[in-house]
Amino acid sequence: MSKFTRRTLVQISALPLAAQAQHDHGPALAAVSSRTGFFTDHEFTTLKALCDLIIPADEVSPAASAAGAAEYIELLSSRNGRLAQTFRGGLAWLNAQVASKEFVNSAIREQTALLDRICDRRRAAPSDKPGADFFDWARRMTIDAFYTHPAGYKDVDYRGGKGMTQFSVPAEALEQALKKANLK
Amino acid sequence: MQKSETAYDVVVIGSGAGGGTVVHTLTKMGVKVLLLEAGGPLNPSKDFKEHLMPWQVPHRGAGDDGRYYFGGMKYGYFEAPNGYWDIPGEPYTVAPGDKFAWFRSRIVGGRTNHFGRIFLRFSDYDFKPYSTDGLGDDWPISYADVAPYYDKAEAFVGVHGTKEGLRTAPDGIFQPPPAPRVHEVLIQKACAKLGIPVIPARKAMLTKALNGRAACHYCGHCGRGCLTASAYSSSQVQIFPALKTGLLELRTNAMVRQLLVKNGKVDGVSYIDKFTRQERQVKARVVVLAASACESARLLLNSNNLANSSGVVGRYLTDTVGLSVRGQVPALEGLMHHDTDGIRGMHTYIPWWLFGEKLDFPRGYHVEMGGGFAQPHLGTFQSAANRYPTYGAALKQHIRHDYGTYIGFTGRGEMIPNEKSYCEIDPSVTDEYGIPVLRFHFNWSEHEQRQSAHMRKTFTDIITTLGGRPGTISSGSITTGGEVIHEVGTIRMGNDPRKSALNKYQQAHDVKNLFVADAAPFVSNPDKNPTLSIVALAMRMSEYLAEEMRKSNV
Repeated sequence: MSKFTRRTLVQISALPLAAQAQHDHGPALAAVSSRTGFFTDHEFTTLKALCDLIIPADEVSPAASAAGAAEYIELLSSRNGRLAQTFRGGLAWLNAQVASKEFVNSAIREQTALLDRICDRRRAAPSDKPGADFFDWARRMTIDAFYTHPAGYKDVDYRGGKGMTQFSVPAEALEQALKKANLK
Repeated sequence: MQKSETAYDVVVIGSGAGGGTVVHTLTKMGVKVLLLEAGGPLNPSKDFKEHLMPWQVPHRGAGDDGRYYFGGMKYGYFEAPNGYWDIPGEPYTVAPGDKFAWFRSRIVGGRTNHFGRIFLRFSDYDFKPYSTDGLGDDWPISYADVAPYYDKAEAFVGVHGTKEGLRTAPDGIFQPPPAPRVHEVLIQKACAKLGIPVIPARKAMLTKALNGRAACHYCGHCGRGCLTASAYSSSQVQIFPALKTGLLELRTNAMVRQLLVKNGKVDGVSYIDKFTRQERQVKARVVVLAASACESARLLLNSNNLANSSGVVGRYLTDTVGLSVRGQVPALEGLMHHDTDGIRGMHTYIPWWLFGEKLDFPRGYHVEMGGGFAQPHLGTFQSAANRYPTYGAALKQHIRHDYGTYIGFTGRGEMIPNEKSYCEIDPSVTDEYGIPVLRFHFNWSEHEQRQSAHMRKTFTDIITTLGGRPGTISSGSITTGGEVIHEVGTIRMGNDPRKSALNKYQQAHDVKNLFVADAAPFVSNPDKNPTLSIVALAMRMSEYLAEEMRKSNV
């Protein structure tokens, strides 16, 4: 490191800080952008519920809403007509499928029964195709939002983002893989 | 129109690997140079997004308008400001029925700000393809002519690697390579069973400090532009230092329209200042084209077919053959998590290993590889979502379980020039500066198709040998022409002025004070990535040019 310029050191020292954020659940580091208000409150609430059904909280990490998934989708929909149409139409489709006509207010069993119908495009009934296409988008962008957030980095236990002075691999990891692959 | 008062010794057009090398070499020898770049200036500390985390931007890397989701950002928001497939106002056309994608850079340093830094020497036989297998043409130079410049280029730029004594991968002057990652060691051992060599990669990345540039800090963000210039770019390593000599003047946003000719010699350059949209002219004793193979050809064709009595300008266009296969390896499941960032991409690669063997295609390829616990970005877990089309806690578990267990291989093969692949001026389309644009014709021949089939089988065999899970192994198809961004050959060199545009020093046969320093002079497109050869040949060309100027021959 001694050969690095001053500016370099400043840049490098920023790295562990960013990486550190993964290990902190604090709201200050939530990095969730605020709502643009593009969706109606009802649309937004429905979207947020859907995102949390896709990525719920578990013993390892929080739900998609903690990573700002709905805000992310709203932000991009507000600036991209194709995404806006996909999500507006999709949320309306969800509402139309449940008895109360309000997905967000239906019982969890009714919600998951609906998602079970549309979560695999290859198996969805032809009449459910619009819902399955929409769900694909919702899942894709919810995953994107969650795993590009410190909560997602922590969930998959990403250990990089820190830099090294000399690249090395833990001997134990190598040993483990060679053994498992029968390549010792 | 504004005419510049100053007459420059040399005007260089384009600031990538070729142009950067020429201005650096010439200014060191005391020559006064003007460098014209069609794009904007570069300020690494402002323009490079190295070390930025995705959550630090609200759109996470999708772009303000989410264009990532519609294929609009192939190399992503975080990459260096390197260039584009589509430049507003600067179209190109493709002949009906053909496919070609043209990546162009518009920034000081060009594509070197982001490229993979793979730095491979051509082999002796690569310079003599016709003599080797009867296809294509031989270069007017041999490995021995270029070897001293490979030495100089590697010593100056800084390349890591190991001496292996392989004819298909000539050794160079190397810094020590980074240690291989876990999956790379596994691949090496699986390949040993198949008789396929896996050796340390050779890349223009410093593992030791060199000429005031720091050694790599292994953040894995190489493609975003390297703030410490540990990864080579012509902007940071050649152009910025050359500017300090006081002998180099750099003009950005200068879109060259044509070369000016007087009494059979180039007299100067006419360009559009992109801000004022006015034409400007500069006088030059010598002009060096280094605008990229196709842009340089376009310039000659748009300059009343200059230096083209042979008719070869625009012809012999090739790109590298590419094909990728990836798969999931159960042996990597449950692996102790650790930092695998390292140098972006591979630490090891497979050089061509079947030279001289009887195959159903004539030319070789090398293999690049990927894997490890990659930094999560948009799209990183899409394959898990495709594999497990579910939701909820189960989806999270699948993603966690799959993370770091995929490996992938990408072939990089030699295309043989064919008569159906070339560029020409489109008779009816101009860009927003009124400059006629290129129209591309491009076809892979059955040589490349069969080579890509061999890649697919080989990569699948390696993954299977490693116990790759059947059903997870997915193979792409042969790349679209231009997609690998290794366009070469459009202003070829040769000894016969009837069959080539340039002599063996990359000097136009027809116009003595005109030189070409990008990949346009290449006679063939070996599987080894072109950049090291562009740099070495540009050094050689520059030394020859300086000597010819000293003797008043140009």
